[in-house]
Amino acid sequence: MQCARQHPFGGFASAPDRIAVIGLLPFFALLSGCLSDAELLAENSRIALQTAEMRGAGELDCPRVKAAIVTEKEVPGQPLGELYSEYGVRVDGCGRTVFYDIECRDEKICAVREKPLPK
Amino acid sequence: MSGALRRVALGSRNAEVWKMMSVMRKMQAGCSLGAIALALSGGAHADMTTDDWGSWGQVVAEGSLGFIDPGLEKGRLWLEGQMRWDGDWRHWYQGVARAALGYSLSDRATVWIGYSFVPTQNAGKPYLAQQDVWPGFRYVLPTEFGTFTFRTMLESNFIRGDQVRYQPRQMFRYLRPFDFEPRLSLIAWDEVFVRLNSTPWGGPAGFGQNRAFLGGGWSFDPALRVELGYMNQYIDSRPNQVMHNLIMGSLFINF
Repeated sequence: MQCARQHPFGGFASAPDRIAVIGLLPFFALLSGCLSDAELLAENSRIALQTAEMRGAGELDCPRVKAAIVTEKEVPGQPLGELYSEYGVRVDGCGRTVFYDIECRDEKICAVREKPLPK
Repeated sequence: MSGALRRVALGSRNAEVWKMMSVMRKMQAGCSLGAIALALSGGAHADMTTDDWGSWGQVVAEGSLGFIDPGLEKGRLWLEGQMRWDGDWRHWYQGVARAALGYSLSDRATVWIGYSFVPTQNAGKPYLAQQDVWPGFRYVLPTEFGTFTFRTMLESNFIRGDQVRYQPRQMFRYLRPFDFEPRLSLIAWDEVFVRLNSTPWGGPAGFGQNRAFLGGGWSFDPALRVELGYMNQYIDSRPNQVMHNLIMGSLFINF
């Protein structure tokens, strides 16, 4: 009578093997949930554009502005904290242009810095 | 005994000593793991010689060296100050001033080289002006469930005299913003210290201490976060076991 369960890969999964596999499950789960820089940047780009348009509309005194992302990268935030998405955003409206550096993590945590116009 | 025979005898004796040392080292490692398990389970409480409350306060600032020169953008500067009280808040016992230079290998991985000054005045013991130098490594892993941070520091502790204690420490940290208020985060971390060698002032080799934290954080903006929570510090300074229950407050600044 065969007591051990047949291992899917042909061998027999011993108790230590099973414990090792179970022990590694959180690690695999962690890796499967990893977010790439591209995913983080895509996630935060909408709010960065919205923030830039709101700020640009006020500063340019122009009701219809258009924002576009010029540069984007992930940067470290506060120490031992999260990564933040940093965008260089160009806002055009009413014949004028303004540039911003926008650092976002989600719609509640965005910081905007105006940049001088590139020469 | 001839010289050759004596060498063989000494060689076999050395081999035996080496084997014994190897077994002892393995036992020590086993004991260390056991001590960690004991510390985490709280089972070591029976042997505790100190079990008190206190507080730690810290300010940690970090930023790119790009403000000096744009070419140094990948360079990092880490500055930190801490104050620590024990004896149910009646006694200041330690401060920490830490400074480190880092290099960003990527937005997630940073290597460090740093220095810490740790003035210590434990109750009933002589004042110690500990100094540490250490290389370090930090990795930030954003996931769908929250952000994990792994920090390794390989400390050389200059405590007193010319005997250096080598003490690696490993931190695992988890931060998850709440869905209902993303500025508010759950924060949990654990840091394990292991002494690689025995020194008169630094204690015996083996498991050194464990720090476990559970609390909350509030991000004001990308440059500022505060944290408040409970930290359990268990120190194995054989024959004494110390448990500090600490209210820990932190201010993190990104410049």
